[in-house]
Amino acid sequence: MKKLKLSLSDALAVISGLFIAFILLCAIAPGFVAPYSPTYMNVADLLQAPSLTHLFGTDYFGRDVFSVVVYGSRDSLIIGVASVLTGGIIGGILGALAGFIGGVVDTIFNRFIEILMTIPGILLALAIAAALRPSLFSIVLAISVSSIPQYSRVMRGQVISIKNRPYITVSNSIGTRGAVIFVKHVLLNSWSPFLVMATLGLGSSILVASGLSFLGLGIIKEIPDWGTLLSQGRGYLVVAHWICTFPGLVITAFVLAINIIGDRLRDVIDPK
Amino acid sequence: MKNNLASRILSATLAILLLALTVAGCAADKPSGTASDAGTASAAPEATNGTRAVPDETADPAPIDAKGGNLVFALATTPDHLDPHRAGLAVSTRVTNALFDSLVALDENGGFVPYLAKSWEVSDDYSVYTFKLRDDVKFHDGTPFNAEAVVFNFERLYNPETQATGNITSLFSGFLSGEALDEFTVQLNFSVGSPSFLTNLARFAFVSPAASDKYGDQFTRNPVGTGAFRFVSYDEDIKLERNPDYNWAPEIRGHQGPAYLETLTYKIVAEEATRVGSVESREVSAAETVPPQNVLSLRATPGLQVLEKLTLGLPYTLFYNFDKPIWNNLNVRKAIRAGVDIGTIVQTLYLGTYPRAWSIISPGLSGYDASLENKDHYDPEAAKALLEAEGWLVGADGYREKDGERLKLHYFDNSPNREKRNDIAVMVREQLKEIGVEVEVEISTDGYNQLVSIRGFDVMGNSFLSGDLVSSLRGNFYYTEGGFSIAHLNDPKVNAWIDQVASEFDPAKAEVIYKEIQQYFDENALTLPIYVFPYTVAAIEEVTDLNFDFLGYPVFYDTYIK
Repeated sequence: MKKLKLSLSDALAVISGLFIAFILLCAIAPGFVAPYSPTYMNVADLLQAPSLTHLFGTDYFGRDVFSVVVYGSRDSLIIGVASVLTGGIIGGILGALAGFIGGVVDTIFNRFIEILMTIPGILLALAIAAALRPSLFSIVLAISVSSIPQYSRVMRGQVISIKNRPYITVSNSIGTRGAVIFVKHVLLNSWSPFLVMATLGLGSSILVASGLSFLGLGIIKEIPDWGTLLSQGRGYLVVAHWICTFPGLVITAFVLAINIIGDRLRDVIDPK
Repeated sequence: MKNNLASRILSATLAILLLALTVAGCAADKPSGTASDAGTASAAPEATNGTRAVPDETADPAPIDAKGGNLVFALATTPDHLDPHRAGLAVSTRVTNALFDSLVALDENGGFVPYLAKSWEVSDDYSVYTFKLRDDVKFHDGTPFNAEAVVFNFERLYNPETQATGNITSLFSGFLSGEALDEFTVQLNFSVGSPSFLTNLARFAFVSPAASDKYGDQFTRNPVGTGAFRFVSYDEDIKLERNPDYNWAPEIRGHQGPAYLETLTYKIVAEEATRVGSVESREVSAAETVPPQNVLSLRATPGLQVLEKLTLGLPYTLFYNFDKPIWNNLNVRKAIRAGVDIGTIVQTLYLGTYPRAWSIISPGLSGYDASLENKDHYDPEAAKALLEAEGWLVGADGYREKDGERLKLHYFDNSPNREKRNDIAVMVREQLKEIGVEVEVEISTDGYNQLVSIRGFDVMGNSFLSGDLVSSLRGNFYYTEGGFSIAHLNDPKVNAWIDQVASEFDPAKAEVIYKEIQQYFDENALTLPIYVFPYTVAAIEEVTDLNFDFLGYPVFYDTYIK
C-alpha cells in the first residue's frame, strides 16, 4: 500500500519535473521547439482552430499561438525568477537581520512589515506597476516588493527559533563573533523552508505577473508573455477561444508543476 | 509522512482553485450567452447561463397593436448628463435625442429639413437667422414650445450656471442674442456669420424653460423636452416611455404621430462580450458597438441582425510628429507610407467589417474626394529604394542607419486597444521591420505618460467624429493655432485653405477647397489614414426600423418590435 502511494507521488513529481524542464527548454531555446516565428503574421490563416499544422490554432494576426506561447515563456519565466530572487533576497535578509538582532530593530521591522501586509499584495503590485511606466523592470519590482513581507516573516521566524537553540548559546559562550554565528550557524540552518517557499513563490509570481499583464499593465513587446496573450485574446473568447485557452492551460500546468515540485522539495528537505 | 499526501492534495487543490479563479476572473469579463463553458457563464453577474430557450419577456412582448413593443438598448458607456446642454459624450446624445427635438433636421445627405421650425430665412452674410416655429408643439410638462422658449434655451446655454459643455457652446461661437419677434417667430443674431450654424442647429436640443427653472442643476436628473419619448426614471437603467401627444416629427421619418415603442430602456453594459452576449441571450433587444469578430458571428446567427452606419468626421489616422526633423523629408514619408500595408491591416483586424480610409476625411461628407479611393501606396520595394536614396542603409542587424543613427520610430497609442488600435501598432511594427525601420510601440492610457509622450512620439493615431468638417479640420487637428495642432502640422498652405473654407458660404466652392486639401495631403504623404469607424448595433430580428440619422445616432421613433 505504502509502495503504491509513493509511486503515485513520484510519478507526479517526475511528470512535473519533465514539464518544467520542457518550459525551461522553451525559454532557453524557443527556436528549437516552436515550428514558426512568433512574429510571422500569416494573414491568410486568421483565427484557425487548433489543427496539426497549428497545434494551438492561430490568432487574429494569423500568428501560430503555439509558437507565441513557446517564445512568450522566456519573459514569463524571467519575470517569475527575477521577482522571486529580488523579493526573496531583500525579504530574507531583512527578516533574518531583524530576527537575529531582535530588540528595537525587530520591533521597527515588524511594524513596517505589518503595514506592508495590510495592503493586499496584488493591489500593491498594481499600484506600483501603474505608477511606473510599463516595463519588465517595473513588473519585477512590483511583484518583488509585494512579496517581501511573506519571505521576511518566514525567515524571521526561522531565525528566531534557531537563535534560541543550545548550540547557538554554546557558540556565544565560547566567544564566537556575532557575524560568524549569524552567517555560519543561523543562516545556513534556516534556508530550507525558505527555499521551499521561494519555489512556490515562483509559481505565484508568474500568476501575479500574468494578472498584471492581463489588466493591461504589462508591456507591449514583439512577443507577448503569457498574461498579455490571455488579455489580448479575451475579446475573441466566443469566436476563437484557443487564443486564451491554451496560454491559460500552460500557465495552469506550469504553476501546478512548480507546486508539486515545491511540495516534494519540502518532503526531502524538511521531512517532519 | 502521514500528512504529506493530504497536504499535497490540499496544496494542489488550492493551486487549481487559484487558477480557476484567475481564469474565472478573466471569463467574468467576457461572458457570453452562447459560451459553452459553464464556468464562464456562472462567474458572470450579468450572464444568463446561456439559455436561449427562455427568452426574456421584455424582449418578446405580445403584440397587441400592429406596431409597438418595448425596447431595451444596451449602451457601451455611461452618459455623463441627460441635460442636452451639458452632455459632452456621444453616448449621452443617444439618449437625449429621444427626449428632445431640434429646430431643423438633417436628411441622409446632410440637407436641411423642417423640424420644430416650419421654415427659416438666413441673411446674406449668415449672421441673422429667422425661424418660423410650429405652433402645436408642447413640452412633456405641458408648457408650450414657442419663440420665448427658443430664446430661453440659447440664453441658458451661455449662462455659466448651466455648466454647458464646450462641445455645444463652441458650435455657436459668436452668438449675440435671440429675439422673439412674435409668439412663433424667433430671430438669432451672430457676430460673425458662419454657414455651419444651420448644421449645428440640427444638434441643438430644446429643454422646457419651466422645468429648467424648477429643477435648476438637477435638470440633468429630470430632463423635460419635446421629444417622442419622455423621461421616467434613471436608477440603474434609463427608462423612457412614449410621448402620446407627439405629433411633430420631421417629414424624413417613416411616420407621423406618437412613436411606436411603448417604452425605451437604456441599460449600461460596459463589457463588450457581455453586451453582445445579452443580445444573443435576448436579455436586451439591441446593443451598440459590436466588435468586428462578433459582427461576423452575429450575422451568421439566425434570429439576430447587425445594423451599422459609418461615422462622419476625420477617420482614424496615423499622424507624424513634424517637430522631428525626419518627417520633414518627403521621401521618408513616402517610404513609410509605401511600407505600411494598410489594406492588409484593415482586412486582418476588422475582418472586412470596417472600411479602409482613403482620405483625411470620411466618405459621406460633402467635399469628400472619392478619386483617392483604391489608390494604394503599398510597395515595399519602392519604400526600400526611397530610403536607400535618402542615405538610410541597412546595418548589421537588419535595421537602417544613417551617420551612425538608427531609423527608429516611437509609436505611441493612448487607447486601451479601443477599436483594436494597439493591434494596428503591432502590425505596423512588423511591416516596417520588413523595410528595415524599427518601431518601438508604447501603449499608455495614463494621463501623465500621455502628456510626456505627446511631445516625444514619432507616430500617433487619432480620430474625430463630427458632421461639421470645418470644426473637425480646425479643432486643433490640421490647423495650427497657437503653434499647435494634433498632427503637429504647421503648413501655411493648409492653414490658409482651412481659413478660406471656414468663411466660404457657397457649398460648391467649399467642396473644391476640401478636395484640394485632400489631394495635397495625399501627394505629400502627410498622414496615414487607416479606417472609418462604423457605429454598429446588434439586435434581435424582431427589432424593426431602427434607423440612424445623418451623424450616425440611432433614431428610435419609427422602431417597433415585430
